[in-house]
Amino acid sequence: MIGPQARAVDIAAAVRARRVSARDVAAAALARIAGRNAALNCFTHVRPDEALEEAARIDARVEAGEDVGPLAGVPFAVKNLLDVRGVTTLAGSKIFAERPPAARDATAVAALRRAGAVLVGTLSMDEFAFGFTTENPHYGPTRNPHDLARVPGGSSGGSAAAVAAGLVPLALGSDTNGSIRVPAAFCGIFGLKPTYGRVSRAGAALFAASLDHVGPFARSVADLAAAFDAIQGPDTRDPVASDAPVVPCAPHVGRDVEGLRLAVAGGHFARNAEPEALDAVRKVAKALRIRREVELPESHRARAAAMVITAVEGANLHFPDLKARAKDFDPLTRDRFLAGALLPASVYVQAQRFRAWYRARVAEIFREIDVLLTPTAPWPAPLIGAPRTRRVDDAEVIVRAHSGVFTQPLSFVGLPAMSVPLAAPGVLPLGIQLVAAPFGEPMLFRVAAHLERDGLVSAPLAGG
Amino acid sequence: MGESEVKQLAALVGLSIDPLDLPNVVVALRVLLGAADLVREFALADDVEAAPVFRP
Repeated sequence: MIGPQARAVDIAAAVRARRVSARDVAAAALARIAGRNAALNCFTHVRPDEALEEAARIDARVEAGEDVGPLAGVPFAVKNLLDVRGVTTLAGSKIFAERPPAARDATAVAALRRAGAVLVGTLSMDEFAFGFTTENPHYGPTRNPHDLARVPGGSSGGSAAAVAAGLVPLALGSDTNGSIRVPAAFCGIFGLKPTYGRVSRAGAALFAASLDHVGPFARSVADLAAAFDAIQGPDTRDPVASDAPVVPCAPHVGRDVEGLRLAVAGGHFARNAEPEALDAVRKVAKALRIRREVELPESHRARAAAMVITAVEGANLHFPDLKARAKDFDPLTRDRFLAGALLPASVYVQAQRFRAWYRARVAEIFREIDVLLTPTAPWPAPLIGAPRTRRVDDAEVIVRAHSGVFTQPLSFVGLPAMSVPLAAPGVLPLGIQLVAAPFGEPMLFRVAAHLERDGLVSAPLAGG
Repeated sequence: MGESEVKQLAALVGLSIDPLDLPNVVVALRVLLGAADLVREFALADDVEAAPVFRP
């Protein structure tokens, strides 16, 4: 039988073999959502009738002997910043609630549906993706299924919470500075921020366009690979989509790490965190017998430049609303967007130029290594309503912003990065960030699958 | 950087900030200017240029 713990790849195999109907799988997912969403507040919209109809169509096609795709009958949900035909894309805002429903699916949503997956609903987020907590004042905070008093991370908090709780086996989110990886870490699941341009952003509400990525969440490496393979590839609808040949990652899940050059990141990535987050990296590094440490120079500055670019591009995008109706923004995003609108242009250009410098230094390092390990976040999930600042590593930091201290420098130069979960009974999960050179996703999957086989990383169902 | 300066700066770019929001915008701008200082103080050679479209 297919329960909440079932992997997407196993569901698809069972549906294709007619051991279970896609309709029953969808109905079970909808029942779980109905039972848990009031506590978690991770769905913004559920589409039961459409999902059941679509699932029944999958069953009819299976019955007719058609190939319905690698994700046949797999329920999934998407961050409500990706267009879903017939649903208004709120992007966590009150302002977009006035917009009409989307006329067509985002490219990544359409790709998963073409692969046979069944869309059951849309998921909560920080307003306009500008946050790491999903404490959304318009629609209420989303709660971490490991501890309802804690944030799920953000901005794709609804995506991570829904997958961690077993409401759906797959979800899509977006990541500008860490918005897939941070919630994946806080909720104890797998999350992939692909190489910049590898997955189309067409039909996604943009935040900071030169940093925006779309990617998947899952509770197993095989599921993450299946979802990524379904959505990766070129797209004429996205001006920055890469034309690089598509390399499927699912075949790499069974491969070992033999021959891969692995290293741990030092410097910036070995400071700025609670000891438990750094210990987690040491534990995984020991298991992988990693002895090499490398330093990505000026990573604190890379993070600063990413903050500048994010604030300026975001403020530019929302300038008309900041001017006409600033009061309708979430106070936390409004203040930062307004500040971004006031930065001098020369700083933005300098940040983009620094990006070229940092990208070149990082490229030199990745000529020597294949996969780099860092903590995903500096701590486990903070409490909802946590104080604005806290001390870590002898410095006073802003809690919300600092959650991205290790993710921001890497998305800044578009590197593929995956958060893999360390789980243990009675403690909050932590994430390890695996990082490769551009288009090095297959190597990330090899390392993640190796760690999963060894039992070092896993995503047991949370709560319930 | 105080509230009156931020108010003037906002007016220059065509924004009007509610006085109640002004203290928080000042805080947010100070954080960003700190980041901006880190970016600005790093000397880059003249031939380091931003790519018109960012490619990883």
